[in-house]
Amino acid sequence: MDSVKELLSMRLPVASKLSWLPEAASTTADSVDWIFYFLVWSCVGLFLLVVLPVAWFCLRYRRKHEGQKALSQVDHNVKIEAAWTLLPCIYLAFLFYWGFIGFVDLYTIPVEAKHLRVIGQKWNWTVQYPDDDISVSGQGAIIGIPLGQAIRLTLSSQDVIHSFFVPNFRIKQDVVPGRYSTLWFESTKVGEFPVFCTEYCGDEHSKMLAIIKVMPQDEYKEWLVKKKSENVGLPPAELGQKLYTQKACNACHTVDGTPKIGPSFKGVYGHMTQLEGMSPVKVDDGYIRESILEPQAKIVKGYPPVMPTFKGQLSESDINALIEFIKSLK
Amino acid sequence: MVANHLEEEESYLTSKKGIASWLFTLDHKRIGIMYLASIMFFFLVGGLFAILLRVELWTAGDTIVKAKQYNQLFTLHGAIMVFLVIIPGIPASLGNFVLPLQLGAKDVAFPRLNLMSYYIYVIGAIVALSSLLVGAVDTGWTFYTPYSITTDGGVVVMVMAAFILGFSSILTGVNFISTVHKLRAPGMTWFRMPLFIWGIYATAIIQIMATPVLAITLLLLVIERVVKVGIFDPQLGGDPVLFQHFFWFYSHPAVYIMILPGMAVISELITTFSQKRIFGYKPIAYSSIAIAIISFLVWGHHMFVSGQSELVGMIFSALTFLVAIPSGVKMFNWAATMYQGSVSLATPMLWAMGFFLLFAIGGLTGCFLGTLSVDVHLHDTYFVVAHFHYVMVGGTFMAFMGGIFYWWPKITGKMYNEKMGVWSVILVVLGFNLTFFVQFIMGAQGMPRRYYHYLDQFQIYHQISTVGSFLLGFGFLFSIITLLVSLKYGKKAPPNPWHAATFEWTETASPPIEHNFHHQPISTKGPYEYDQIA
Repeated sequence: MDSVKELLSMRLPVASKLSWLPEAASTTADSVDWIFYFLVWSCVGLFLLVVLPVAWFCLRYRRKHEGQKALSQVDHNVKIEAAWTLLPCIYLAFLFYWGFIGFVDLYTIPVEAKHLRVIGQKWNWTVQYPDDDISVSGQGAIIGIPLGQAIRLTLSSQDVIHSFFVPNFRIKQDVVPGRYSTLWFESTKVGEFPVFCTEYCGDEHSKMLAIIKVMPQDEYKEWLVKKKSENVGLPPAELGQKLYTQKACNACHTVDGTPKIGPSFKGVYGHMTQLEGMSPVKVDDGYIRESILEPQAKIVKGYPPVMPTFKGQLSESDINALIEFIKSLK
Repeated sequence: MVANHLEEEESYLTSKKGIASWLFTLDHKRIGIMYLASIMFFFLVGGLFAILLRVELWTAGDTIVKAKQYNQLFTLHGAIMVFLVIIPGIPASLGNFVLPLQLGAKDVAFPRLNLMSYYIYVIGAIVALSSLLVGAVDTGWTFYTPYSITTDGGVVVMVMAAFILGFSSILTGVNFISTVHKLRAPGMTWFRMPLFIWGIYATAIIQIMATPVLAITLLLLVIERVVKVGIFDPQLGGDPVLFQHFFWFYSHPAVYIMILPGMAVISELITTFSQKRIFGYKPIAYSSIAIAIISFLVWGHHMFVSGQSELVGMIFSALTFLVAIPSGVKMFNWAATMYQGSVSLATPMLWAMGFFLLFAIGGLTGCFLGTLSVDVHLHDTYFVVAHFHYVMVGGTFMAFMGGIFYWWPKITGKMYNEKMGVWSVILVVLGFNLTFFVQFIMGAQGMPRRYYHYLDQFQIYHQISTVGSFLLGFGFLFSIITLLVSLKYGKKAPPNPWHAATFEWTETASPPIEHNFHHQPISTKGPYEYDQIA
């Protein structure tokens, strides 16, 4: 899983080491940062406002001998009490309003935005480009994005709840199975920005990473062309090997014989395999095809029935390529 | 009022002997001690899990456990600390011991029910631990659907444990409310009650109103898993976000079940150790009730990015800011109480000062999370982890420790070593800040929570946090040792070592006799009239 290792050693772009927030790289990030830093400084002020008097009282009114009485028993002061009840209301109302305005911006999607579809599944992101007929997926997938173009994401989930979080863009949205959610951003900087899953989703939750690669328009166009031609003309088994990582088969299936969440691919082709509650079956083209498209139809003995379907995500030639790849693992 | 002959009477600790006299006791004081011992045991277990988590996070990959075990560890840490430690925490242990004494009552209104609550707690705890035998749960303490429906392991068992523990909580709440209404001493009007009682009373209201919702939710979850009825699982036609609404409808008020008793303790500590009437008695009392009510209306702030509508997000943001007001009022009143007082920085007061420092940070960072656009960035990152630890540990647990050190002489009749007490506080406050302050920075930088792997650049923060967690763990161990050592070597405690003005100090010995008081105490003044006691 080299891609993940590489990804883990990647630096989240940070403006300077002393900064609280990672480098802002979207049009909406700056206003979020303004409120954030306002909060930092106003909270430092408020913190001192309550803590310093208490520290002073500790010193000034420190009991010096046993049985020393309090200087007074004053227990109310209407003016002061009104002040410390009402003034915070003004501060909090201001915060509420400012945060709400920023929130509305985060959800006001420009009409000209380019549309991408994001599918979350255990444990990787797939991004489909409906206009360009390509898709990227797998742990550490590179999501190419043109600089300065508004992007609208329609997010859906294959299995459990995930959450799509791009720290540098200050955006986050839960991805809930059975419904679509939307998110948008417009990048302002060229660079590579990590995407995290922030809704706990199981064993490899923390490896469910992708990279948003923001490129100038012309570079982006080249990237698209390259992406389209990438899988053309590859021998099926090699294409299968690529898909094995791109579609994150490797999250659950190894190629070296060690069992993981699912059975290993090594040496299974052409052999009989034990099934849960059914008679054994021979691993052949038809069986593999069925296992990819309808994973719950037959469950290999000793493994949990957790594989999601890949129906609609793989073309005929992709499926054939995967079969050839599995066949090649002797 | 306290004559010397009181001290020669048999105390509740020695009046009956043998293990059965403890296991079947109806004495609220003994039940309080049994709760305290159980809660502290689970605190150490939950704390051990926390240390293991921090050690695992020393490096970005495998350090001591695999991802699956890590996920099980943080689930157990959260579930144990929430359901077995902080929620029962102060009310079940100190509340049980102190509430009837402060009211001038012989016991709680329903002593048998009280013992039953304890055993329900024990059964719940055993069920929770037995989930480990079925296969440890890895869903996080929040049990979010549909993940919790698909995962194997003892989810059903753990959820049933939380269900059972809820009843313990409800019964304790019912008991305390009845006790406050029916068993106040003659002359003790509502506004002559110590503020500790107001806090516990407000907590009890939330306990009996919110906990049934959790019970229903958890039951639905079990029904869905076992009978396959579609409620939360989209594959069966259910709605996973509905679970979040139900869950937080309980669990946000539960946050106040955790913090209100802490605030209640702090009100006692600050007045006693300033020897001054509390500033703004009524605002503090009413703010507890206000918090109890508003706490039911803010649950949606856990769900700003869950896909709920922007309008709903806006309403919950506004209500969230509203709940900050009564908490702020309490802070200001406590500060003002110390003005012109006679301030002693004895161990319980130092815990209170630690609370003040840490809860201020916990409360103020809550403003970040209530601010909608900022929360979108911070949600489910370490910023949130740091925030709720500042509130739950820095707030509630500091107050809990303060309360234990305050009432220890009353509970056990022994004084602990003051120097050791002071060092306990210093170690805990230093260790706590070292552990959790860096988590604010890490979270703002984008480090998500519940992550086994992390980007290398976060390693330095994780390592600082891990070092801090050792110091913090040592601090808590040292506090517990300080208390245990006093049982054997401590000096005998006088009836009122802190010169406090409430009944448990002025009207009975340390430790109290079995029936609390020789004569029915009569309330003739407020709870904090230090200039009017002997």
